[in-house]
Amino acid sequence: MTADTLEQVVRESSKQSPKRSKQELANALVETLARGAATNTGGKPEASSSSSSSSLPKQRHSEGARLMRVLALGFALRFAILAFSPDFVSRHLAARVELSTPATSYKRLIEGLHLAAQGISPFDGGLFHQSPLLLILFRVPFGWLPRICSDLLFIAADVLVALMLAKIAAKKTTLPGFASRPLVPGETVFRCSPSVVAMLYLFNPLTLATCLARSTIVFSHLATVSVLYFGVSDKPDLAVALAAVATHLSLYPAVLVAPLALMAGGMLFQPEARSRSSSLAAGAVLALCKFAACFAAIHFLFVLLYGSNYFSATFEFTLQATDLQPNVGLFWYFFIEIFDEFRQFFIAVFQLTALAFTVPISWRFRDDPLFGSVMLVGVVSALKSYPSWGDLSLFLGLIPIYEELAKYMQYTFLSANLLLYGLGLAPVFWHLWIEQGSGNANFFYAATLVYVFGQITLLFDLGSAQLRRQLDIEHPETRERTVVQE
Amino acid sequence: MFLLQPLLLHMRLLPLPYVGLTSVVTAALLAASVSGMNSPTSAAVSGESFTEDLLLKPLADGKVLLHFEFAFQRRQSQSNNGTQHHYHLFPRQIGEIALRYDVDELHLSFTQGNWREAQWGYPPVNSQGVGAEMRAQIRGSEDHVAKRWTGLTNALSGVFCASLNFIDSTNTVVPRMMFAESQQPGRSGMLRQGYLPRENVCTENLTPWIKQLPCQSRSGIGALLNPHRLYNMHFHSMGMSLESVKLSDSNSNSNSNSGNPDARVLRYTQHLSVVLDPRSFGLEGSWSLSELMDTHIAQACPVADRSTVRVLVSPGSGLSVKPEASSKSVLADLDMHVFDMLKQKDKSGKSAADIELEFVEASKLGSAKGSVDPGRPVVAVHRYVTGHGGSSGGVEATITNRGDQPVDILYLDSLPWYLRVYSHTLTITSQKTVGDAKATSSSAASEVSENLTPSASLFTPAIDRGRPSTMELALTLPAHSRTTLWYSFDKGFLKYTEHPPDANRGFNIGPAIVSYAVVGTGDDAQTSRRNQPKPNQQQQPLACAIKESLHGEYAASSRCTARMYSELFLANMPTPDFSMPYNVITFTCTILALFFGRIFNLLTRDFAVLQPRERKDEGTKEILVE
Repeated sequence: MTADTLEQVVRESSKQSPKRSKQELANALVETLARGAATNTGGKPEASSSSSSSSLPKQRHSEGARLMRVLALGFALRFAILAFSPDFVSRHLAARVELSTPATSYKRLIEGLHLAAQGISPFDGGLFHQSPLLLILFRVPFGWLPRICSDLLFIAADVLVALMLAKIAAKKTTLPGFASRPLVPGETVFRCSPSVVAMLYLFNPLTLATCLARSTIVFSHLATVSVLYFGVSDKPDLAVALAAVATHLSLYPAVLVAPLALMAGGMLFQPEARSRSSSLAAGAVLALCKFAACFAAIHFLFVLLYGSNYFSATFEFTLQATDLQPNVGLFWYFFIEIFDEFRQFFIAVFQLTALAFTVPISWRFRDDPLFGSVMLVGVVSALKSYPSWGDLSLFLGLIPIYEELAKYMQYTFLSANLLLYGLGLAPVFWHLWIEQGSGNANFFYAATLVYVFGQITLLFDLGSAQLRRQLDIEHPETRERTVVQE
Repeated sequence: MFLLQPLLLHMRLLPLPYVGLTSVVTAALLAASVSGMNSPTSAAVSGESFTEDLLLKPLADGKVLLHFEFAFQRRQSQSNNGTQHHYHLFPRQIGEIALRYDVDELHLSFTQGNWREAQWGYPPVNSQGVGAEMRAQIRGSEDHVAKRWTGLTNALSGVFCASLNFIDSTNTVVPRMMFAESQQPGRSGMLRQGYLPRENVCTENLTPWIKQLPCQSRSGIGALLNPHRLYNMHFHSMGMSLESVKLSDSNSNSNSNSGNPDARVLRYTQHLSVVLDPRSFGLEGSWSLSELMDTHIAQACPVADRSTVRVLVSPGSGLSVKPEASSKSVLADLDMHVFDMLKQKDKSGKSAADIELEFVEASKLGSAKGSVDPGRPVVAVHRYVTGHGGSSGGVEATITNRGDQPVDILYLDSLPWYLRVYSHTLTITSQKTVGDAKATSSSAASEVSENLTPSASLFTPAIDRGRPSTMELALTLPAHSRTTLWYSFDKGFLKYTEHPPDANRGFNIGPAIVSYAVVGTGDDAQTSRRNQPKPNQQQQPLACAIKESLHGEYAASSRCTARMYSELFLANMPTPDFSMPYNVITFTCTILALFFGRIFNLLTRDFAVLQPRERKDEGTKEILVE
């Protein structure tokens, strides 16, 4: 970032300072709201709660009501579309490869449930690759209740994701690490209010389409954001257990264990303990062990229920990327075209690229494991083997929590354009290739390349913005200077 | 002695010291055949027998069906000692294959052209699916059966010069309800079925097939196998079947004096059915068999225990047969003129070459065409692919019951793994149709379609690159109804090496099979003449009638299973750009490298403050250089 832009930023932020008191008031409201929602915060958001005591109860009510209104509106919109125009959904959304992948498709889930109801193991086939958890979850709605009931599960999960995001956003500023940390001098408290965070997630067209297509990625999202919420709420055991569930749902959330271990090690809650690396290591190792135990427990439960071949049908299927149905990721066309001798090698390369940065990213952002988690969600969204637009929607939904980074991001125009091109062109090129036959596979492939490149740009931009802001906090004198990364 | 020549030729295969003996045998054989005794001398010597038959049936649309059937029979040795097996007439390679791979039953057919049941009636064979079909019942454990099945496909691939070795686990079906008639008591084998819809049949398959005949194409009915005519056809089905049957079950030859109730015989049948159009050979009006095949039977096959030409003429069709047949009977409501090639020679005192069959039209062919009811099968099946676009589709099968009574059918459909079948989308609806000829009163053919629930359904999901999906349904079709099955599939995306060379043509998908048991046939069918048609009487399928007439198999059980095959369909799969591998590898790896580089920089580099030792604009320049 050049010096002029930085100066501009500072000037702008100082202009906003009159609004500051009002903003702080809003913060406090949300914090108390978050505390009310989560029965036990365990933290100590004292500084802010003291200020909140002076606030008006009417305003407190208004923020909570706003969140509720957003959630209710999101729920109603989804319900209305699914209930009143299922034809539109089935014709235009349900079969979109950009929304439903072989690992998340609703049609495949129904097929799996159907097979299970017939007494055939759904994992003894090439069609069903979703977690046995979903089979258990949908057993009753599929077997005995009308179709809208299973649709309601998707809607409820999506709304819960939004609620969790709002809670994380509310929780973030109450964390001791944040509360005690000085802001960049002259900076106001930038924060989207939780209702805005929820709104940005719920009314993101990508989220909406994903939910309407009934992609089971919604449940994976719910598990993921729950992990983050309970992580920042200082409930590491629950968070670790949910991380095991999330891993069973779609494998890749396993990467969240690394930032979670840092949270459990006390990185978020005892900032003074950061220097004591022994306690950090002990907490982290304990969290890892708990994760392994939870994962193994769920695994054995599933083996008992569905036999051991569920494992190869879900985990091995995700790692090996055997289904080459196009999606918005990098895997499908590469592994259609790759020479057979190199297949295994490149599978390893691709998966390692996606997973290898887990620990480095967590460690680099160890001061704020939540931010490390957001980065990891972005990495997974870009590089997982069966990505969909739903993965991006979660990443985009998490970014507003770090709204203070918006002014530090340099390539927003570029990455927004890349993403819009990728999002807009993929359905068009798909239509040309598959429906009309006037294009070929390269068209759609090009759109996915642009899309992934856009995500990588956004990810890099976000990471460097956070680092730059940290530098500004730690060395305020460098704000006036030109800074380079070397 | 015209007959001695081929026999001596044949005997030359035996060791020289036996030549004296063989001439004695030959004399005995001659004597036997001259005296008209049907007890086979050769069979008495070797425990083997051989019969050959040709069925000829003029079809309603002026075409002619020729059905050749060559049957071998051989006592199965109880010992597995390989040195004990001597083969006389029975093809040695087939006998050894049966022994080596523990085969209880084996069927193989190569088919080209669709059997048009609406015009031609019942098919003469039970497998009429286009392509190559192979089915076997193999003894042993699961692993052994898999190995033996692979071995069997490879062995037969060599024997018949066909690509049967392409039958692997991805296109092998394990039927559980279909082909149940194979599950006879005393058989423990497991059924495997493989299908190659793209397999063509041509002379390269016919030549080894003919070579297995004892007289090859030199004499006997085999002499009529003229490839130029056999492949200028509308329908062609060539095949073989090998069955191990209990001797007590089969009312075969009288030499079952072994006294062993477990004694089994190996029955090997080679069959070839063709539908030819005489008009395409310039044969209008009356024509003879030798004109039709452009060759003639020079002499009867001397080692055959039976050698007949049977002409099936539907009564009232206005066709007559010359010369006078040696015997006449009824087969499947048709008049059957039987010409015994072995006897024919004796009676007239002329050589077999002179035997010709004349078809004289009493009336004009046009009127005959209209009047003749082809005897359409009670159940007909057609299957189509529905939907548009390259990523998904549906399969629709229409099964028609033309009969006056409900029919229990079995439906077997197997799709390759790359068509991902959603079994939950299966819908079965049934619709009433107007009755064929009799039910004119039921003009109120209701358009209402009702859902039909299968009485049993078995679905085996596919495994990617592992096995096909198999759907077996047991349905009861209402009388005069059209039942429609529909289910959807997604098209899988294949690696670029998995596409055939002409990738944009698509993949041939094998047929669906409908089988149903025909009740009340057998003796009943023999007695029910055409002039007293019973409304509830189903016409006996030709395939069963032929078996019964030639081998007397179903006479006792009066149970016959008919199978109808649907058409193939072409699945257009989405294709990648086959010229792109290097570009794709380059582009994708570039993106990956970009990701790696950027994140690596982010993680490893620290911020450094540029000292403002120069002017600001120069400082900016420095950054850009950096």
